[in-house]
Amino acid sequence: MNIDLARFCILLSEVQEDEFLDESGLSPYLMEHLFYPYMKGKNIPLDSLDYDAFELEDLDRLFDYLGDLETVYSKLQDKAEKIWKGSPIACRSRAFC
Amino acid sequence: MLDYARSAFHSVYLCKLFHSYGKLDALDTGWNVDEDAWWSMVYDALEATGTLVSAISDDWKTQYYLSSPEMMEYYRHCRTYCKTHGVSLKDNPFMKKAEEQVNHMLQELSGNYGWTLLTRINHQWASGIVFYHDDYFDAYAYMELIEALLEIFHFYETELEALRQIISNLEPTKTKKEAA
Repeated sequence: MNIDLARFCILLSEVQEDEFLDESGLSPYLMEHLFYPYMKGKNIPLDSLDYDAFELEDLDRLFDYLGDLETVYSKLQDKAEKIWKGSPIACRSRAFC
Repeated sequence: MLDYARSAFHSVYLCKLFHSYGKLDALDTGWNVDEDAWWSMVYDALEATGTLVSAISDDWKTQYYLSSPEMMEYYRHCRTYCKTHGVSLKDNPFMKKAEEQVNHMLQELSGNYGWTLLTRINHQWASGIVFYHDDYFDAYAYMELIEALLEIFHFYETELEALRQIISNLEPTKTKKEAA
Protein backbone atom coordinates (compact mmCIF):
# COMPACT_ATOMS: atom_id res chain seq x y z
CA MET A 1 0.00 0.00 0.00
CA ASN A 2 1.33 3.44 -0.96
CA ILE A 3 0.49 6.42 1.21
CA ASP A 4 0.79 9.95 -0.10
CA LEU A 5 1.89 11.61 3.14
CA ALA A 6 1.56 15.14 1.77
CA ARG A 7 -2.05 14.49 0.79
CA PHE A 8 -2.64 12.71 4.08
CA CYS A 9 -1.43 15.75 6.04
CA ILE A 10 -3.67 18.06 4.04
CA LEU A 11 -6.71 15.87 4.74
CA LEU A 12 -5.87 15.70 8.45
CA SER A 13 -5.57 19.48 8.67
CA GLU A 14 -9.00 19.88 7.06
CA VAL A 15 -10.79 17.72 9.65
CA GLN A 16 -12.65 19.83 12.19
CA GLU A 17 -12.28 18.74 15.81
CA ASP A 18 -16.02 18.97 16.42
CA GLU A 19 -16.74 16.59 13.56
CA PHE A 20 -14.99 13.81 15.43
CA LEU A 21 -17.89 12.30 17.41
CA ASP A 22 -21.33 13.57 18.27
CA GLU A 23 -21.44 14.70 21.90
CA SER A 24 -24.87 16.31 21.73
CA GLY A 25 -26.73 13.62 23.73
CA LEU A 26 -24.21 13.57 26.55
CA SER A 27 -24.66 15.18 29.96
CA PRO A 28 -22.81 18.54 29.99
CA TYR A 29 -22.24 18.08 33.73
CA LEU A 30 -20.55 14.71 33.29
CA MET A 31 -18.43 15.96 30.38
CA GLU A 32 -17.28 19.03 32.26
CA HIS A 33 -16.78 17.52 35.71
CA LEU A 34 -15.86 13.93 34.90
CA PHE A 35 -14.86 13.10 31.34
CA TYR A 36 -12.63 16.01 30.32
CA PRO A 37 -10.81 16.31 33.68
CA TYR A 38 -10.30 12.52 33.77
CA MET A 39 -8.88 12.46 30.24
CA LYS A 40 -6.51 15.26 31.24
CA GLY A 41 -5.26 13.10 34.11
CA LYS A 42 -6.75 15.22 36.88
CA ASN A 43 -7.79 13.76 40.23
CA ILE A 44 -11.55 13.74 40.68
CA PRO A 45 -12.68 12.89 44.23
CA LEU A 46 -15.87 10.81 44.10
CA ASP A 47 -17.40 12.93 46.84
CA SER A 48 -16.83 16.12 44.83
CA LEU A 49 -19.44 15.12 42.23
CA ASP A 50 -23.02 16.32 42.43
CA TYR A 51 -25.08 13.15 42.08
CA ASP A 52 -28.27 15.14 41.59
CA ALA A 53 -26.82 16.74 38.46
CA PHE A 54 -27.09 13.65 36.25
CA GLU A 55 -29.02 10.40 35.84
CA LEU A 56 -27.89 6.78 35.54
CA GLU A 57 -28.95 6.91 31.88
CA ASP A 58 -26.45 9.76 31.36
CA LEU A 59 -23.70 7.42 32.54
CA ASP A 60 -25.00 4.69 30.21
CA ARG A 61 -24.73 7.17 27.31
CA LEU A 62 -21.22 8.09 28.44
CA PHE A 63 -20.27 4.38 28.38
CA ASP A 64 -21.67 4.16 24.82
CA TYR A 65 -19.62 7.20 23.90
CA LEU A 66 -16.51 5.57 25.37
CA GLY A 67 -17.26 2.55 23.20
CA ASP A 68 -17.40 4.78 20.10
CA LEU A 69 -14.14 6.45 21.14
CA GLU A 70 -12.49 3.07 21.63
CA THR A 71 -13.56 2.05 18.11
CA VAL A 72 -12.12 5.24 16.59
CA TYR A 73 -8.98 4.91 18.69
CA SER A 74 -8.54 1.33 17.55
CA LYS A 75 -8.92 2.32 13.88
CA LEU A 76 -6.43 5.16 14.33
CA GLN A 77 -3.97 2.77 15.94
CA ASP A 78 -4.43 0.40 13.02
CA LYS A 79 -3.74 3.20 10.50
CA ALA A 80 -0.76 4.45 12.51
CA GLU A 81 0.68 0.94 12.52
CA LYS A 82 0.33 0.66 8.75
CA ILE A 83 2.12 4.00 8.25
CA TRP A 84 4.82 2.96 10.72
CA LYS A 85 5.41 -0.33 8.92
CA GLY A 86 5.40 1.20 5.41
CA SER A 87 8.72 1.41 3.58
CA PRO A 88 9.67 4.84 2.24
CA ILE A 89 9.83 5.30 -1.53
CA ALA A 90 12.48 7.58 -2.95
CA CYS A 91 11.34 10.72 -4.79
CA ARG A 92 11.55 10.41 -8.56
CA SER A 93 13.10 13.84 -8.89
CA ARG A 94 15.87 15.38 -6.83
CA ALA A 95 14.61 17.43 -3.88
CA PHE A 96 16.30 19.57 -1.24
CA CYS A 97 15.00 20.23 2.27
CA MET B 1 -6.46 6.97 29.86
CA LEU B 2 -9.16 5.71 27.51
CA ASP B 3 -8.32 2.10 28.40
CA TYR B 4 -9.09 2.69 32.08
CA ALA B 5 -11.94 5.20 31.71
CA ARG B 6 -14.68 2.58 31.60
CA SER B 7 -13.60 0.91 34.84
CA ALA B 8 -12.95 4.28 36.47
CA PHE B 9 -16.39 5.62 35.56
CA HIS B 10 -18.00 2.51 37.00
CA SER B 11 -17.05 3.88 40.44
CA VAL B 12 -19.22 6.92 39.62
CA TYR B 13 -22.00 4.61 38.41
CA LEU B 14 -21.84 2.76 41.72
CA CYS B 15 -22.14 6.00 43.70
CA LYS B 16 -25.01 7.23 41.54
CA LEU B 17 -26.77 3.88 41.94
CA PHE B 18 -26.59 4.09 45.75
CA HIS B 19 -27.55 7.78 45.60
CA SER B 20 -30.69 6.91 43.62
CA TYR B 21 -31.74 4.49 46.39
CA GLY B 22 -30.86 7.06 49.10
CA LYS B 23 -27.98 4.92 50.36
CA LEU B 24 -24.91 6.88 49.26
CA ASP B 25 -23.88 7.34 52.89
CA ALA B 26 -23.41 3.57 53.14
CA LEU B 27 -20.53 3.74 50.63
CA ASP B 28 -16.99 4.92 51.23
CA THR B 29 -16.69 7.76 48.70
CA GLY B 30 -13.26 8.90 49.84
CA TRP B 31 -11.68 7.70 46.61
CA ASN B 32 -10.69 9.43 43.42
CA VAL B 33 -12.34 8.35 40.17
CA ASP B 34 -10.06 5.58 38.99
CA GLU B 35 -9.99 1.91 38.17
CA ASP B 36 -8.63 0.84 41.58
CA ALA B 37 -11.44 2.68 43.36
CA TRP B 38 -14.05 0.67 41.54
CA TRP B 39 -12.47 -2.68 42.31
CA SER B 40 -12.09 -1.69 45.95
CA MET B 41 -15.62 -0.33 46.24
CA VAL B 42 -17.48 -3.12 44.53
CA TYR B 43 -17.17 -5.60 47.40
CA ASP B 44 -18.00 -3.00 50.05
CA ALA B 45 -20.98 -2.00 47.94
CA LEU B 46 -22.29 -5.55 48.00
CA GLU B 47 -22.26 -5.49 51.79
CA ALA B 48 -24.04 -2.14 51.78
CA THR B 49 -27.03 -3.32 49.71
CA GLY B 50 -28.68 -4.88 52.77
CA THR B 51 -27.34 -6.61 55.86
CA LEU B 52 -24.55 -8.99 55.04
CA VAL B 53 -25.04 -11.80 57.53
CA SER B 54 -22.24 -14.04 56.31
CA ALA B 55 -19.71 -14.52 53.52
CA ILE B 56 -17.95 -17.81 52.94
CA SER B 57 -15.34 -18.45 50.28
CA ASP B 58 -13.28 -21.45 49.25
CA ASP B 59 -11.28 -22.39 46.14
CA TRP B 60 -14.38 -23.07 44.07
CA LYS B 61 -17.25 -21.07 45.41
CA THR B 62 -18.14 -17.86 47.22
CA GLN B 63 -21.37 -17.66 49.13
CA TYR B 64 -23.12 -14.67 50.67
CA TYR B 65 -26.09 -14.52 52.94
CA LEU B 66 -27.92 -11.20 52.83
CA SER B 67 -30.98 -10.04 54.68
CA SER B 68 -32.51 -6.83 56.02
CA PRO B 69 -34.73 -5.80 58.96
CA GLU B 70 -37.46 -4.87 56.46
CA MET B 71 -37.30 -8.29 54.85
CA MET B 72 -37.64 -9.97 58.26
CA GLU B 73 -40.61 -7.79 59.18
CA TYR B 74 -42.18 -8.43 55.77
CA TYR B 75 -42.20 -12.20 56.33
CA ARG B 76 -43.44 -11.82 59.90
CA HIS B 77 -46.41 -9.83 58.58
CA CYS B 78 -46.92 -12.44 55.87
CA ARG B 79 -47.60 -14.97 58.66
CA THR B 80 -50.07 -12.58 60.26
CA TYR B 81 -51.77 -12.10 56.90
CA CYS B 82 -52.09 -15.88 56.51
CA LYS B 83 -53.73 -16.22 59.91
CA THR B 84 -56.14 -13.35 59.42
CA HIS B 85 -57.12 -14.24 55.85
CA GLY B 86 -57.15 -18.00 56.27
CA VAL B 87 -54.67 -18.65 53.48
CA SER B 88 -51.60 -20.87 53.43
CA LEU B 89 -48.13 -19.39 53.05
CA LYS B 90 -48.01 -20.95 49.59
CA ASP B 91 -51.11 -19.03 48.51
CA ASN B 92 -50.22 -15.78 50.24
CA PRO B 93 -50.08 -13.09 47.50
CA PHE B 94 -47.32 -11.20 49.34
CA MET B 95 -45.17 -14.32 49.54
CA LYS B 96 -45.69 -14.97 45.84
CA LYS B 97 -45.00 -11.37 44.85
CA ALA B 98 -41.72 -11.27 46.79
CA GLU B 99 -40.57 -14.58 45.36
CA GLU B 100 -41.34 -13.39 41.82
CA GLN B 101 -39.46 -10.15 42.42
CA VAL B 102 -36.35 -11.89 43.77
CA ASN B 103 -36.34 -14.43 40.93
CA HIS B 104 -36.94 -11.74 38.33
CA MET B 105 -34.06 -9.58 39.57
CA LEU B 106 -31.54 -12.40 39.94
CA GLN B 107 -32.27 -14.59 36.95
CA GLU B 108 -30.39 -12.68 34.27
CA LEU B 109 -27.03 -11.80 35.77
CA SER B 110 -23.75 -12.65 34.07
CA GLY B 111 -21.61 -15.57 35.19
CA ASN B 112 -22.24 -18.85 36.95
CA TYR B 113 -24.26 -18.45 40.10
CA GLY B 114 -27.32 -19.55 42.02
CA TRP B 115 -29.51 -18.37 44.86
CA THR B 116 -32.03 -19.50 47.44
CA LEU B 117 -34.68 -17.32 49.01
CA LEU B 118 -35.29 -18.13 52.68
CA THR B 119 -38.52 -16.90 54.24
CA ARG B 120 -38.36 -18.29 57.76
CA ILE B 121 -38.77 -16.05 60.84
CA ASN B 122 -37.56 -18.28 63.64
CA HIS B 123 -34.44 -16.27 64.41
CA GLN B 124 -32.97 -12.79 63.83
CA TRP B 125 -31.89 -13.22 60.21
CA ALA B 126 -33.89 -16.31 59.29
CA SER B 127 -35.23 -14.65 56.13
CA GLY B 128 -32.63 -13.83 53.53
CA ILE B 129 -31.03 -14.56 50.22
CA VAL B 130 -28.27 -17.12 49.89
CA PHE B 131 -26.28 -16.18 46.79
CA TYR B 132 -23.33 -18.21 45.54
CA HIS B 133 -21.07 -17.96 42.52
CA ASP B 134 -17.97 -19.61 41.10
CA ASP B 135 -14.46 -18.17 40.76
CA TYR B 136 -15.19 -16.53 37.40
CA PHE B 137 -17.73 -14.07 38.77
CA ASP B 138 -15.98 -10.79 37.93
CA ALA B 139 -16.48 -7.19 39.02
CA TYR B 140 -18.89 -6.51 36.13
CA ALA B 141 -21.06 -9.39 37.33
CA TYR B 142 -20.86 -7.94 40.84
CA MET B 143 -22.17 -4.64 39.50
CA GLU B 144 -25.24 -6.41 38.12
CA LEU B 145 -25.67 -8.28 41.40
CA ILE B 146 -25.43 -5.07 43.42
CA GLU B 147 -28.02 -3.38 41.21
CA ALA B 148 -30.35 -6.38 41.59
CA LEU B 149 -29.92 -6.55 45.38
CA LEU B 150 -30.55 -2.82 45.79
CA GLU B 151 -33.80 -3.25 43.87
CA ILE B 152 -34.78 -6.35 45.88
CA PHE B 153 -34.22 -4.75 49.28
CA HIS B 154 -35.95 -1.60 48.04
CA PHE B 155 -38.90 -3.81 47.11
CA TYR B 156 -39.11 -5.17 50.66
CA GLU B 157 -38.96 -1.63 52.07
CA THR B 158 -41.79 -0.30 49.89
CA GLU B 159 -43.99 -3.41 49.99
CA LEU B 160 -43.62 -3.60 53.74
CA GLU B 161 -45.54 -0.32 53.97
CA ALA B 162 -48.48 -1.84 52.08
CA LEU B 163 -48.41 -4.94 54.24
CA ARG B 164 -48.18 -2.89 57.46
CA GLN B 165 -51.23 -0.93 56.31
CA ILE B 166 -53.26 -4.12 55.82
CA ILE B 167 -52.18 -5.57 59.14
CA SER B 168 -52.83 -2.34 61.05
CA ASN B 169 -56.38 -2.21 59.66
CA LEU B 170 -57.16 -5.61 61.16
CA GLU B 171 -58.59 -6.08 64.58
CA PRO B 172 -55.50 -6.85 66.69
CA THR B 173 -56.45 -10.25 68.10
CA LYS B 174 -59.17 -11.55 65.85
CA THR B 175 -58.14 -13.99 63.19
CA LYS B 176 -60.51 -15.17 60.48
CA LYS B 177 -60.95 -18.49 62.27
CA GLU B 178 -61.73 -16.78 65.54
CA ALA B 179 -64.22 -14.47 63.86
CA ALA B 180 -66.07 -17.47 62.39
